[in-house]
Amino acid sequence: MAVDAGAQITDLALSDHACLTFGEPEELFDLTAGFVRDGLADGLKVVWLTDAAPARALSELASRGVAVAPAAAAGQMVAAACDGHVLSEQAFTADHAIEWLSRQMAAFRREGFTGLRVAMDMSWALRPIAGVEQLIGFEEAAAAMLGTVSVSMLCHYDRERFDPVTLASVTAMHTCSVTAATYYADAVLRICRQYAPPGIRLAGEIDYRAEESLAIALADAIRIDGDVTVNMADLTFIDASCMRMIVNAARSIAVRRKVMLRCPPGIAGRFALVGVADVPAISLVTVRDR
Amino acid sequence: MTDEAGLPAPRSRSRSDSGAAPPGDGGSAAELARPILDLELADDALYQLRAAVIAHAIAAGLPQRRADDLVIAIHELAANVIRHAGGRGRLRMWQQNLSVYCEVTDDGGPPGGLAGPCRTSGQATDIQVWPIEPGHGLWLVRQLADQMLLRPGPAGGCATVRFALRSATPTEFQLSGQARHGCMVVAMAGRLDWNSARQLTDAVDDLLAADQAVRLVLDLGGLTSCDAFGLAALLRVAEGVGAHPAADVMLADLPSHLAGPLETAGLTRRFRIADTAESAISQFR
Repeated sequence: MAVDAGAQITDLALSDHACLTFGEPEELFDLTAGFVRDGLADGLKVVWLTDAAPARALSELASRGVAVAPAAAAGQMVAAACDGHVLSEQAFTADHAIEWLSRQMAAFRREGFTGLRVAMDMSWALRPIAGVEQLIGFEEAAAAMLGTVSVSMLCHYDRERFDPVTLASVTAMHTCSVTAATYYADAVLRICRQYAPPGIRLAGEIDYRAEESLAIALADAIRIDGDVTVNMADLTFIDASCMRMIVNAARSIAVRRKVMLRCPPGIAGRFALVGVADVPAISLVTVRDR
Repeated sequence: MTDEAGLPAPRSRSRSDSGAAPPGDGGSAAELARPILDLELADDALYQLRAAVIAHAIAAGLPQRRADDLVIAIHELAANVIRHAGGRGRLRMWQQNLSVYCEVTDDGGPPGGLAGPCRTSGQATDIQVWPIEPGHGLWLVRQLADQMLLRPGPAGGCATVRFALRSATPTEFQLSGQARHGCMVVAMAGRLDWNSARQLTDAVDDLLAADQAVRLVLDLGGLTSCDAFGLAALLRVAEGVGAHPAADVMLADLPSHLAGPLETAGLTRRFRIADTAESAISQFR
């Protein structure tokens, strides 16, 4: 049971116009990876207009277990920069962007795909771009185009950087709002679901005071079939009782399943000390210090 | 690592003016030495406590990794007081000679807390009688601190940990590889710790990249110590080799002082272990 009521990225319908609000790049890439993975698995064409470099976007997807290389080679997956597509020479017009979207909608049918998923990072609108005031008009027109066709669109908005008025106006144009299911969030700690690869993500500092939320998050992650990742790449502190809780969760899991603990070196050392080598299901993955 | 010989003696009544005074049994060391940090413990302020401890530990000259270890040690002691010993207590931290000391006392609460079963004995106590379970807080503290002492304090229990500012033994680490009878023998000497763990994992990664069917013998005979990072590195080796079906690895010449830590960490069940490198090689042939 998550504490917020946003829709889940894994529950999007074929013609949803969804608004993804994210707080940090890790969350954006994770949710988008879920969106791309499910789209590719359903045989849809997937286009991602990203604010990051397209190569980085593809490698982020690959590192999250999405088979992007064959999909990109087959033309099923395209990652591109916003500029040159919905933007031209640092200028935005709603008409131009809608025209781009119509071309994509015509192309996927011609290429033989049964549907289309478009992910669009709106962070360009935070830069001094001419025509940025037409953003809401574009979202409105896009909403009218979707709905009856097998095209879904996921618009990315950075909730820390967009002002609340813009966020409120644009969310109203969407059929649903997507966030990571969050089990706990305060100034020090955030526990949320991870979608690709499935599991949970801990960021900040965690101790026994968040045990209850951690237990719920772990139970949710384990309930789903397959391997579970506990992503602690952005965790700076974990105490013995939370480590024990994670190790015990891994102990309780069926033998054929794996629990991947992704952690910075310091935290990996702690887990080694408490004896994770003894738990066959656990595989300890060290990520670089940030 | 739990040798108490160098800790301020709990029964001593000597008071010196040097600021390096050992604690008397009726008071605490921190009352005698000038504390660099003195905080009341509170359930909702552990984040602030950790931030204060790391700041002062670094300022006192502990290297980052050891300061991180100190933070988790203090957190576990404080959490113990808050959760199991009535919830009220105090942290004092001071610097003495070439060590940082931290003392966590509880104000007396229900039995079974920091002071535990020894509360009424009035005697300095052997830490073996404390309930220190592998993987639990106090156990972790004992693994991480250079020394730990638990004893009855003024009102409840009193735990003191010592973290050396400079490690007493040299940190040199040597790693050498030698091909012998179709095996690659990697011999290590010195401390396998956060400084050197990377050398081991990098070397093994390189060997696996060069030969997917490499037969590795890790000769640990020369290791003087192996900390949490060393254990993690050994675990990474086990996983790295495990990911290559044709490759194999054995540990050889495990020093007796490392058998305990490796056993507790579960590593003795992750690896086959031979008495000597020669015996490992012959088992591979």
